[in-house]
Amino acid sequence: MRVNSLSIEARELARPDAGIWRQAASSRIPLVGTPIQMQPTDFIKTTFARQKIGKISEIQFSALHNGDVIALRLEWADPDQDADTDDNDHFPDGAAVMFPFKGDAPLITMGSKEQPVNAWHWRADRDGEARNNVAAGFGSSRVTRGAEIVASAQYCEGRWRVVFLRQLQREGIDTTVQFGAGQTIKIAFAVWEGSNGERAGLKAFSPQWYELSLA
Amino acid sequence: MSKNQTGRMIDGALQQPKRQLAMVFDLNKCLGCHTCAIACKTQWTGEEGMENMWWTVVNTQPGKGTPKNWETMGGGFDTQNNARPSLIPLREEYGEAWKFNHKEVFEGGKGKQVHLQPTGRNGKPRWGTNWDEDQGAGEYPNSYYFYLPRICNHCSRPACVEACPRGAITKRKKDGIVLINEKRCKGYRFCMAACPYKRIYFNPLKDNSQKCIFCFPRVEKGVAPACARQCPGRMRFVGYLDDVDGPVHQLVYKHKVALPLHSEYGTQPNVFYIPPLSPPRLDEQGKLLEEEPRIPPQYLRSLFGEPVDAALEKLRQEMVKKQRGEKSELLDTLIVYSWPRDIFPDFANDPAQLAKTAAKDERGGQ
Repeated sequence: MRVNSLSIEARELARPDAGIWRQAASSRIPLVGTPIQMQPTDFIKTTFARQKIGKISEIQFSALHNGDVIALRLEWADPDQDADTDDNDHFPDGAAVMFPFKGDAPLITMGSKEQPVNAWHWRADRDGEARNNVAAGFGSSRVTRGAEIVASAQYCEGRWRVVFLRQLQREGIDTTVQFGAGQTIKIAFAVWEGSNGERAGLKAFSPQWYELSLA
Repeated sequence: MSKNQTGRMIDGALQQPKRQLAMVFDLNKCLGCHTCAIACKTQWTGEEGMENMWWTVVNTQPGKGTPKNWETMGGGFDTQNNARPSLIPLREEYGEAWKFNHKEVFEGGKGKQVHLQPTGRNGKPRWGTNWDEDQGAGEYPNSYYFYLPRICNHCSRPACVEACPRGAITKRKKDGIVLINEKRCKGYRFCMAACPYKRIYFNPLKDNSQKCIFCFPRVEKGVAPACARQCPGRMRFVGYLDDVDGPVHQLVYKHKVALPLHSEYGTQPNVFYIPPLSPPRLDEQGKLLEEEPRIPPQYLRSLFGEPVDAALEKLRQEMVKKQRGEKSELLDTLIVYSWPRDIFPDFANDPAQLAKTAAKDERGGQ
C-alpha cells in the first residue's frame, strides 16, 4: 500500500472527513476474530466459547504523509456506536494499528520478547488521544509516553472514521516506530466492537502484515 | 495435579502462599451498624471515581445483597472446576452514590414544598446499597433476619486471578492477600465477571478494577484492617490460618464453628462465618417451639453448607456449659475478654500510637 506525499497541512490530514481522503487510494482490509483457543485465560476461553468474536469483518484503510507527519485513516461500518464506560458492562469501540520494530515479528501474539511490536490504540471514549503501546507477546502491552499520536474520530451514519496522526520521526523516543520517505514498513490492524463485549484480546484483526511504502 | 487442590498452577508449578491471612466474622455479634463500611470508606475509597464503592458491606439476610442478586450471577468454578459463566454487575445493582437535591431545597426557595431526596442518574433511584436492609423474611411473630458483612474473600483459588488476561492480579506469597496491580490493570473487568462473590468494583475514572486490599499497609505494620479494628461489636477476628494458637485457626479448624460462605463456588474463600443462632419459633398460641429456630436451618445450609448444623449445635452446647458455670474454651474465644489481644493477636498495634511515634522520630531527626 502506497503512502503518497502531498503538501497538505497536518490539521487537514487529521480531519476524518477532509476532502483529501476521498481522493486518496483506499484498501479493503478483511478482519477475522481472534481464535478462542488463543485467549490467555481459561475463564475467557470458557465463557466466550459460544460467542462470535470479531464482529467487524472489514475496514477501509488509506494513508498519506506530508514530509512531516503521517496520517493513517481507518473506516468501518458499525451500527452500534459505543463511546462510553458509563456502566460496568459497557465497553467502548476501539481500533489499533500495529508495526513490528524490526523484521517479521509474530503478529498473532503481538510480538515476542526478541521481536517486540508497536501498537497505536484509539478508544471511542478517549477522543483526541491514541496511546502508544509496546508489546512483546500476549498480555504484555504497556503504554509509553512521548510518541504523541493524535487520534481524531467521527461517527456518522453508522460508520466510524478514525485518523491516527503522528510526526514521521519522533527523535529520541525508541518506544515508537520511525518513518522516513522512501521507506517500507509493515502494518497490521485491529478493531474492537464494544457492544459485543470486545476488549483485550477479544477483537477483530488482520491476520497478516501489510506493507506501507512511503513515497 | 487435580485442579481442586488449594493454590493455583502457574507455568506448571503450584503457587501457594507461605501463609494465609484470614478473618472470622461472628454473625451473632454483628450489630448491623456499618461502622466497618464507614471505616473502610474513610480509609480507602474517598477519591473521585470511587463514590459507589463499599469494599466492605453489611447485607441483611435473607435479602438480595450487594450487588443486587449477586448470588444468582454466577462466577467461580463448577464441580468439574471449569469457570462458571457469569455476569458483570451493573452500577445500579451495586448501588449508585446518590446525589441529592440540595440546591432545590436549600437554595431554590422550595424548602417548604420539596423533601430532600436522592436523585438517581435515571430519575428516582430504584435500588441502592442496603436497599432491603432489615427486611429479612418470615411472618410476624416469626419474622427474622441477620446481618452478613462481606469483603473480598482473598480466596485460595481466586477466580479473579485466573480470569485476568494481563496477570494484573496476584496473591501475595507472604500472606495470601489478593491484590490488583493498578499499573497492569487495564479495566477489562473479566475479574468482575469471574468473582462469584461480586466484591470487585470498576473505577471508570482510573479505568481500573478495585477491591478490598485487606488493609495490607496496616497489616504490614502489625495493625488490624480498619473494618476489624473499628468494629464496635468486636466480631471480626483476624489472623493467620496456620497460627494454631490464634483465634482464627481455633474457630475454623479446632472448634469447626467458622464456615466459608458458599463454598460450592469453588474458590476456597478465606473469610469464615460463625453462623447465627436464633430464638425458637412461636406457634399460633404464642407457645415457644423449642426445637424450631426462627432462622430456618435450610436457609443457613444454603449459605454455609451442611456443616452449619453441627456448628450451631456446638455453639448451643457450649452456651449450656457456660450457663452451668463450666469452662468453655470456645465461648471464651468468641467473647474476646481482652481486646485487641484476643481478637487479632498479631495485629494489635494501635495506629494512633504508631503515628505519634513516627511524628516524634521525624521531629527528633530534624
